[in-house]
Amino acid sequence: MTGERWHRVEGLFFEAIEMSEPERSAFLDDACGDDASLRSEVEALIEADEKPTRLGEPPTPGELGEMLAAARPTDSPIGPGTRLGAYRIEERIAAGGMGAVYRAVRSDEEYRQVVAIKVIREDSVGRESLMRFRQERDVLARLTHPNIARLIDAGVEGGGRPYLVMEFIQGEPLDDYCADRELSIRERLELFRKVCDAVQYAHQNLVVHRDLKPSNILVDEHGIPKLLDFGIAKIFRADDSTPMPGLTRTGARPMTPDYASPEQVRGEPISTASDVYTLGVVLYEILTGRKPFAGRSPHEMAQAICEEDPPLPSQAVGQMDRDSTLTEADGQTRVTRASSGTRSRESVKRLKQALIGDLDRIVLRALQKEIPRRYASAEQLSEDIARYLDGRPVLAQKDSWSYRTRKFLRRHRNAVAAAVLIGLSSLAGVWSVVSSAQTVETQLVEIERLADLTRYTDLVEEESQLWPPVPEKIAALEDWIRRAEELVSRKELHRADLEALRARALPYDEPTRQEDLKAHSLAGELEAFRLRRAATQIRIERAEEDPELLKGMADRFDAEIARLEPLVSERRTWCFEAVEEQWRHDKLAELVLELDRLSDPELGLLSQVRRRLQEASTVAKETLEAPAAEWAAAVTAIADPEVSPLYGGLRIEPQLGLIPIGQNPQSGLWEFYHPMLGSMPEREEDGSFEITEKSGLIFVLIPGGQFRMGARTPEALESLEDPNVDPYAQPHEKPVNEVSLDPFFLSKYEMTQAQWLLISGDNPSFFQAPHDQLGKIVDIRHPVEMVSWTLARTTLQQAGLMLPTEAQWEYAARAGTTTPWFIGHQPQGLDRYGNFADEAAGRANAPWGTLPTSRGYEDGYVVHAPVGTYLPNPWGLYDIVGNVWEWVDDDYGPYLIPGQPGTGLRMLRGTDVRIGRGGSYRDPFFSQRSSHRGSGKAEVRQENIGIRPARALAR
Amino acid sequence: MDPKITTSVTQLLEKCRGGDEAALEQVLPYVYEELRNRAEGYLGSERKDHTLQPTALVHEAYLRLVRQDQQHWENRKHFLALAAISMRRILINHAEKRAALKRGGKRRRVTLFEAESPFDEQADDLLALDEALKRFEEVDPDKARIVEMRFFAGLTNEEIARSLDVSTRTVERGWRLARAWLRKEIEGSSDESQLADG
Repeated sequence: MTGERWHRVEGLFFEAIEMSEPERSAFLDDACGDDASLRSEVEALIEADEKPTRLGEPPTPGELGEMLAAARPTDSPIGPGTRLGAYRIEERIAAGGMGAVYRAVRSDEEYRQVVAIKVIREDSVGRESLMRFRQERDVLARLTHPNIARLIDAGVEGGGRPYLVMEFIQGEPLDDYCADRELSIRERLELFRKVCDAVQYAHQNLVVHRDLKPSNILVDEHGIPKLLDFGIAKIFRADDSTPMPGLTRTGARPMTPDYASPEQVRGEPISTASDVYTLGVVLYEILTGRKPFAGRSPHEMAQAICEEDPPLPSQAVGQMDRDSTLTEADGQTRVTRASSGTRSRESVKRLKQALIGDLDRIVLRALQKEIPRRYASAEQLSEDIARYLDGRPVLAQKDSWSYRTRKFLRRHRNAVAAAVLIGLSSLAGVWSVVSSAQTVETQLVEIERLADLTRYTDLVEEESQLWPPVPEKIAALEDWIRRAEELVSRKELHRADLEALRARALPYDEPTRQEDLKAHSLAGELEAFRLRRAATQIRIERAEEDPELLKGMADRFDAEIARLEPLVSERRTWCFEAVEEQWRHDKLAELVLELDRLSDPELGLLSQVRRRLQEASTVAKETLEAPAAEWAAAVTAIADPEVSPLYGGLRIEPQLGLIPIGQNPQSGLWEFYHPMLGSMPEREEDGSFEITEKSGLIFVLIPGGQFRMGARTPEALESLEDPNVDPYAQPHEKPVNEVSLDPFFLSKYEMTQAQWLLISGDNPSFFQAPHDQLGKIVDIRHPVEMVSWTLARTTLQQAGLMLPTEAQWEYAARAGTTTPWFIGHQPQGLDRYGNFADEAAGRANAPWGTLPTSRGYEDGYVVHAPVGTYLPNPWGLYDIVGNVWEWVDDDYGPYLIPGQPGTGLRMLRGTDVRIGRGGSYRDPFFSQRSSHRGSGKAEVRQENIGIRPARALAR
Repeated sequence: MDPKITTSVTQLLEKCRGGDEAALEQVLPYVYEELRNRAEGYLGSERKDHTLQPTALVHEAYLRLVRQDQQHWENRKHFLALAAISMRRILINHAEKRAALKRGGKRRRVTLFEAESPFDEQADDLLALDEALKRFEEVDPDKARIVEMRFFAGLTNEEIARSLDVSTRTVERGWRLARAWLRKEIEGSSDESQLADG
C-alpha cells in the first residue's frame, strides 16, 4: 500500500469510528465513491476495532490472546446431561470458531445410538444462515455413502442455536493416521482414493464439501476413511451469497487458508473444482508431511495460492519437519515421525525419489490455479492415481521421450546405467555428426546422473539394516562401503558439471540476494548469536564473573557466528532461462549436496559405517578375547554364592559387546562397561565412577527374582509400615502384583547427550550447551531428552540395547525395598539422591521451584543435572529419583493383565500411550516414588523425558 | 550492578541524546543482555500463573542500567525504545524455539507427563503477531513502534508518548488503528474452523 493511500485509510478510519452506523455508511459511500477496495479496507478496520476487548489495563503479550479470543468459542451453557431433541449430551469432544461438538446418545425406548452433535455458536448464526440451514439439511440428509459421516438429524435448540446430529465417528485424522501407522506411499494412495470416491459421490449429488482437510477426514479402526462436515461450510458461511448492502465481505475469507483454492481465496463462487483442488492439498500433505505453502504468513499464503506454483512435493520433502521423516521397513518407503539425525536427513531422499515424476505431476495437476487445467473431477484424480499404482502412464504426464525413458529406467535402472555408459563411449563419435546429437547426449548424461541419485538412495535405504555392529554384519558392511566409496569418487565430476552449469545461470541480482539473506532459516539465529556475543563482551568487561566461563561462552558464540555467517550469505537461488537446465541444475545440486554429506569425515554416513565396520570387526576381540581373563573371573565370581550372594549361583557366559569392570563394593552387584558409546569411566576409590563427556555406558547385572510391583493407599487402621502401602499411591499403581524376573542388564546412569550423539549424530535435547542455569552451563554429560519413545527404541536397537520393561525398572529402582522411596517411608533427604522440584529452581524463578512441595529441598539444579551427580540407590543405580523421566517399553494400562514371563512386559492392543518412570527435575517429591507412573503418547518429546538403556542377558 | 556498566550505559545514552546514532547501537547489547537474563527464568517456566511482566522487567532494567543521579528524560526515552526492541526479539526467539519443537506448528493436545507448557499456546500467537507487525511496519512504521512498545515492553500510553515525542492522544489513536489493523490481519487469516479437530 502506498503511503498516500494508507493516509486516506487512516483518515477515514478516524472519522468513521466517531459516527453512528447509518451515518457512517453514508459517509463512506460519499468518501470512497467507486473505490470499493478502499471502502472494504476501512470497513474491515472498523469491524476489527469494534470487537470487544479488555481496554484500559496495560497490555502484556497475553493481550494478543484476547485479541484473538473473539475468534474462539465462548463458553457454552450446554454440558453433560443437556437434552437436545431426542439426544442427551455426554461430553464435549471439540470446540472451534463456529461452536462445539459433543458426543451424545439417543436413548429411546427402542435403541441406544451414539451420535456427534455440532452446536453452532450464536454469533456465527445470522438470519441468512438459519435459512440456508433449513434448505441444506434436507439435501445433506440424503447423502449416504460408506465414506461419508451421515447427517442424522438437525434442529434448533431453545436458545436459538441450530445443531446438527451426525454419525459419531471414532477415528484418527487422515494425516495422523498415515503418520502414526507409518503407511507406505501405496497405502496412503489407496486410502486417498477412497476419499476421492466419497467426494465424487457427493458431487454427483450436487453437494460440494468446501472445507476438506485432514482433520475432517477421520480414519476408523478398520482403516475406513469417513468424511465429516459435508456441505456444512456452505450453510454457515456467506461465501457465495450476494452480499447484503452494508455488510463487509471479510467474513468470506476461507475458514482454512491452508486448504483454500485460488477461487476461494479470491471470494469467487465455489464449485466441485474447488474440492478437487483441496483434495490436491490433502494429497500433498499426506505424501510430504507439509502443506504446499506452509510456513508463510496468512497474507503471503493467500497471495501464493493465487499466484505461485507450489514447490514440487518431491522438493517439499527435503524441508520436512525434523521429526517427521522417513524410515524403511519391509521394502517400502514409509514416512514416520520418529527419527532425527543425519541418517534420517539422508533417508528423506528416498521419499523424494519416490515422489519425483508421476506423483509430483499428479499432485500439481490437482493444484492448478486455473480450473480447466485441473482434473475435471475427483474421479479423474482417483483414476490417475490408480494408473500410477498399476505402473501405467498417468494423464498428468505428457508422453515425452524422456518420460517414457525414465519410466523404463526406474524399472531397469542398473542395467540401463551400464548400457548408457557403453553406448556413450562407443557411439559418441557417430552421434556428434547428427544434428540433434547434443540433445540426445545431454539426456543420456542426465540419466547417468540420475542413476547416481538412485544409487545414493539405495545406499541410504540399506544402511538402516546394518545394525548392530556385530561380526555377522561384516560382509554386508564391507559391500556397502565399497559402493559408497565408488559413488563418492564421482563427486568431483558432478561438482564440475554443476559449476559449469552454474556459469550459465542468470545473474544473481541484488533483490534475489537480499531475499536469500532474509529468507535464510538461520538468519534470526545468527542475529541472536551476534547479540549474545556482544552481551558476553559486556560481561567480560564487567569482570564480575568467572573469566574462563565467559571466555568459553564467547568462543562458542564466535564459533557459531563463524559457522552461520557463510551459510547465511551463501548464494542459494540459481535461476536458468531454460526449464531443462533448471531441472538439471536442481538435480545436480541435490546430488552434490548429498554426496558431500555422505562423505563428511565427521558425521557423514560413510564414515559412520566405516566406524561401524571397525566395531563389528573388533568387538569380539575387544570384548571377548582381550578381556578373556576378566570374563573368566567374572563368570566364576557371579556363579559363586559366597562371593556374589545376590545372584544365587547364576551362571552366565561372556557377553559380546560388554567388558567386566568388577563387583561394586557397595551393592555387591557386577558392573560392565559398554565400549560402543564411549570410553571406560574411571572408578573412584569408593566404587563410584567419574562420568565425563566421553564416558560410555555402564551396565549393572541385575539379579533375577520376585518382587511386589505397584502400591496402594492404606486401608482403615492399616499400618503405613506394611509393604507397598503408600499414602501417595495413585489408582493406576494398583493392584500390587507379584512379578518374577530373569536377570538383565540395566544402565547405571541415564543415557547422556554425548552417548546419544554417538549413536545418532544428533543432540535433540532442549537444554544443552550453552544453556545456563544458576551459572552452571549444561554440557553433554547431562541426560539426553526430547526423544520420543519410538525414536528411543529404534535408536537403542542400533546399539543392541533396549528400553527396560516397567517391571524391570521398578524392580531395580526398589532394589529390594517395599517402601515408597528406596530411602524409606519419608521423603526427607531425598534431595541427596536426585534432582527434582526444589528451592534451587525457585531461586531461578522456575515455577516448579515455587510450589509448596518444593520447600525444604535443595538439589542445586533448576533443570537436569549431569548424570550421576547424586547418591545411588542400593543397587548402585543413579538418578532413579528425578533428573529426567525414563521411558519404559510397556504400553500404558492397568496392572490387571499379566506381564510376559521373564521380563514382565505388558502389551495392550490399540493404545499409543507409553509410560515414563522416575520423575523429573520439575516434578515434586511424590512423583519420585518407586511405583510412580507417568504416561504420554509414544510420539511425545519433552525437555524432561529421557532414557535409561537396558540390555538382555544372552544365555 | 557494576557502576562501570551503569556509567558506560549512561554515557552512551548521553551520546545518543547528542545525536550519535552509533551509540544507540552500542547500548542495545547491554539492554538486551540485561533483559534476556531477567526474562529467562520466566520464559523457561512452564506454568500459566507465572507470567512474564515485561513492564516490570523493563523498568527494573532501567533502574539497574542507568545512573539515577544524573537522569535525563531523553536517556530514558532512548532506553525504552531499545528495551522494546530487545523484549520483542527475546520473546520471539523463545516463541520460535518453542514453535519449532512442535510438529509442524500443529496445535495438538496430548497426554503429557504431569505438566504442560502453556507457552506453546502463546508461542503461536506471538509469532503471528510478530509476522503481522512486520507487515505493519511497512505500512506505518511509526504506529508499529507504538505496538512494539505496548505489547513487548508493556509501556503505558504516557510513557510511549514521551518516548516518541508525540501527544498521548496520538499514541491512543495510533494504538487503536494499529490494533484494528493487526486484529484484522491476524483474525482474518487464523484457522477459525477447528470444529472437527480432536
